[in-house]
Amino acid sequence: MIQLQKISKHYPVGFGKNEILKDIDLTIEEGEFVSIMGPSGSGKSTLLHILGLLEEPSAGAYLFQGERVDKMNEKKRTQLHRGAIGFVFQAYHLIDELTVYENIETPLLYKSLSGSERKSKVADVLDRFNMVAKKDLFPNQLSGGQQQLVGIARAIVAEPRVILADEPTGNLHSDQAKSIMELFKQLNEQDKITIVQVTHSDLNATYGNRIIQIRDGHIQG
Amino acid sequence: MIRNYFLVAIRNIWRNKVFSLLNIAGLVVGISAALVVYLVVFYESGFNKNVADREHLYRVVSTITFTGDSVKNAGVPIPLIAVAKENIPQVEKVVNFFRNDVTSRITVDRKDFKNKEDIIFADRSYTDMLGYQWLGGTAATALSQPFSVVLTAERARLYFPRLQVDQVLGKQLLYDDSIRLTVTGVVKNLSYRTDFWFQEMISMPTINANAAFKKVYASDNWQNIGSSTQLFLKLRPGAAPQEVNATLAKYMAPNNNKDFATTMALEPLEDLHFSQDFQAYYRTADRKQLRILTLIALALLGLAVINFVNLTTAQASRRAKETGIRKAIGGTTSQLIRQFLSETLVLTLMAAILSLLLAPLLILSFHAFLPEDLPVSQLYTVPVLAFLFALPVVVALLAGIYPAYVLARFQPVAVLKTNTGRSAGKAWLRQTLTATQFTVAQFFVIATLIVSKQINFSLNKDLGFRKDAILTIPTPYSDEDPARRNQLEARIAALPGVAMVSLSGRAPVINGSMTSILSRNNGKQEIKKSIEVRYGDSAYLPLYQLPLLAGRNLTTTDSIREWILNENAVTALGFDRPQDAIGQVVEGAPVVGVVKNFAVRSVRSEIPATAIASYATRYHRTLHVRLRQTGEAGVVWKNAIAGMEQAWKTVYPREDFDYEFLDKTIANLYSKEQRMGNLLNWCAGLAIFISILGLLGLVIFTTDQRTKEIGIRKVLGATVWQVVRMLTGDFMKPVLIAFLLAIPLSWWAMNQWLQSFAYRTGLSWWIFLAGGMMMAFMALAAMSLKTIKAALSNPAHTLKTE
Repeated sequence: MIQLQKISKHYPVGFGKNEILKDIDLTIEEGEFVSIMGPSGSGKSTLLHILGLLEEPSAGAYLFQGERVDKMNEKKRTQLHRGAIGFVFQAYHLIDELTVYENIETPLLYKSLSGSERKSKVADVLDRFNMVAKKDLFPNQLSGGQQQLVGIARAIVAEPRVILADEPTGNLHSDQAKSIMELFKQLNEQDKITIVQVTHSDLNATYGNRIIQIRDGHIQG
Repeated sequence: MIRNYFLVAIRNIWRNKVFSLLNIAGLVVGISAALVVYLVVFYESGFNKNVADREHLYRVVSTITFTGDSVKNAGVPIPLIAVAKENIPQVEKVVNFFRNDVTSRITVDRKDFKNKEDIIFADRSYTDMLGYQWLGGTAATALSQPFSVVLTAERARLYFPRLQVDQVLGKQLLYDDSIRLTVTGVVKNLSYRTDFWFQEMISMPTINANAAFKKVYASDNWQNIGSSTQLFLKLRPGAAPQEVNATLAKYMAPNNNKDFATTMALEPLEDLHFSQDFQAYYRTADRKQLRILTLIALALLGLAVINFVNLTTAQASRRAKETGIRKAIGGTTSQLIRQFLSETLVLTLMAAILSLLLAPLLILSFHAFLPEDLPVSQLYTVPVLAFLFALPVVVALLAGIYPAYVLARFQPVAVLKTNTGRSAGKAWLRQTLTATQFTVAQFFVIATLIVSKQINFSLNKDLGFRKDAILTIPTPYSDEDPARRNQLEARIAALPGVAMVSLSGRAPVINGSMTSILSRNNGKQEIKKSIEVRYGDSAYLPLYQLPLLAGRNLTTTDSIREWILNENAVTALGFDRPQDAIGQVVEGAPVVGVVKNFAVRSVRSEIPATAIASYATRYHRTLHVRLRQTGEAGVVWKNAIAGMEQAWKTVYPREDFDYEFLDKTIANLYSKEQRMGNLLNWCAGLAIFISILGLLGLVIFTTDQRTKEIGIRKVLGATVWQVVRMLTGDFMKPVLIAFLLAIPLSWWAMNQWLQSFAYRTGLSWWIFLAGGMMMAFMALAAMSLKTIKAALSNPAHTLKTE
């Protein structure tokens, strides 16, 4: 499903350049649950951003579902963001001015679904995550774990093929983290959603079925 | 989607209350100004729209030229009317009417009315042109017989408050106790805005049936041109006005000579309401003034737009995260631009609604700058409301497009990775915009100071005669009996508070001019000059303390027997020295004295050659009274004026007593400048208000951003003063640049303006400096609201969060 061929990423720094990723080759199959691990600054977040089409690689090819996407224009990229890729962030990144319900509804608005379709999909997700009672609250009225739950709900409501999660439990207590990871496992096993997560935690990594170690921009072993 | 946009918009506006308030306040000022100005422009351009055949109608106006002077007159020679009716092929229809200058009192059921201004002599062509609806009588017959009069419903109600329309027909009006008119028709007042505001129409045949009217309105003198003779021509479709002009000139030519010539021109009906040279009947509007008002409104609106751009881009980081998230979940840049634009629209619409609520108050408080007859209800008409709701859309686009572009351009990675918040857009752009704002504000401030300096100069300039403690009382226009005036003069002279009385023509300085051609033969040739003339009795010179340079004072005579000249007239008539003029004959009478030059007009024009003569039977109709200035002037004067009124009532029991102090008359010469000064005052105030709002917003934002920095600096030993200076310094730069830009701009503009005055104040450097200091002081004061508080903040609190 995801194929990276000799992907590199560097930023200009002064007269030279700062190499973040070097010649990454990586294939992720449909239905996998992959954990990317590595020390700070190893390039794992950058890799995730490239996977999520938020950043363009400096060199190499990226095939998503067999299609070259590394040099895609914004319009096509947006199409993938709307339908195929869902994001979960460490800092949740909910829109503060919108309620729980409206936050979850937003991706569907961008997909131009009808009102009734949106209503039923959001209701399903709220129901599944046991958040019906909280649907009219604003993000700052929720605990961190609840906010991340909303973040995940927002990521899956548009039924993506893959979820990219950047340290999804980094800001959470361990028991909150556990339930979030349980949820990812469930999404992976029951809904057959491919999941790629960046994590520091060995424990979290055990929920997945493959671990990729990154060090100094290279994939180890 | 739209609902989502608006929800976020409203929640955002609510969340950032301070910034929303600053933005909306600026927009309300800008939109209100635009609304009121549009209202005025719309109102003024809607006059005479329903007049029949308006596009083919022209008013004939005259320009009279006589030796060096040319005078514009809205009227025509009376004999021209007959020519127009019969001899001009391009003319399809002629409408003419006379304004009634003669009647001074209308008596109805023993009650007196004085409203000759809105009485005319007219015939059916006039009522047909305006399309009156007849409530009583008929268009065909009402104005066909002598001594008939048609009233508007409003006038009928005034004269006959208890009667129905049909009962008014056949009632009688008594003009000046001698002419009886019978009401033969009542028309509904016109429903559209018009300059034809006349309420009382006397039938044309009345003119020939009454000696007094006939003398004035049946003249066959081609050189006698009065603005009360109004002639309108309806040209045939396709006829060229120039051809008609030529025909008119052909008929006028035999009556012109080298000293006195009249040219006619056709003024399109649509220009009537804006006629500056020729005047309409009630009031006219000035297109130039409307343009200035429009510019001012645009300037204020521009300032509000700048505020919006500055405040929104400065605090863009608050929205950057949202942009990132929305893009990551499938929003496109253009969708985001649309979202931010609709947010701007919400703000501008809120401002528009507030403006609509404020507008009636504005109309009431700014009535001095608005047409006096502008009704508040005009606000709630479809075109005005349509404008009011179209304006926010335009403003939202203007103000919102750049910030929306800046906000929507954020890349998700940049904002989602780390939580740094910085303002976006170009900082130099904000500086430039702020400098632009302050340039406008600074310009208005300096202009205001210069206008008030010129007004001050005009009022305090030495006139060359005495103006304190003098008041003038005009005697009734219609009174032909000089005995009554003399009687009044004697009674007033006897009052204890009165120092001196003169029964003369007009005061030395008047609004306008009264010139005559005076000629003199110097032995070789005839010298003819257009000379300003004042008429006075023997008390005129002493009362106004006009200093004689040679010869003696005037003696009071029934008609002109001798002249007094001013210095300029001495030169104009070809004498070398004042003494040389004494005893010389001008226009058949000897010069007996020469006075120093004195002001006869406003400081807009140079002192002209002026002569004073006595002509008691014709021109001595105004009492000039000098009051005593002893003890408590207020009490003495009050008693004296009460005494004058009593004297007036014994001499003229049926007329109203009216007086004016001379210094008031002189101040009135500058009412236009006073109004302009007031308007500029407001502009300066509002421009400062908006600009300072924007500045305050920027200061609040950056100061909040630098809270931590301030804390650290204080811990490291910075004093409050040092911190305030650091925070203020950056923001004073645009204010200073604005000052430097405003100097040449305002110097140029105000120099242009001052050129319209013959005697003018200087553009002193200290005016500019004072303006700059005022501006800087206000900017500093506004900023100190925030900076001092920030500088005083306890570092223990501001650094605790880390």
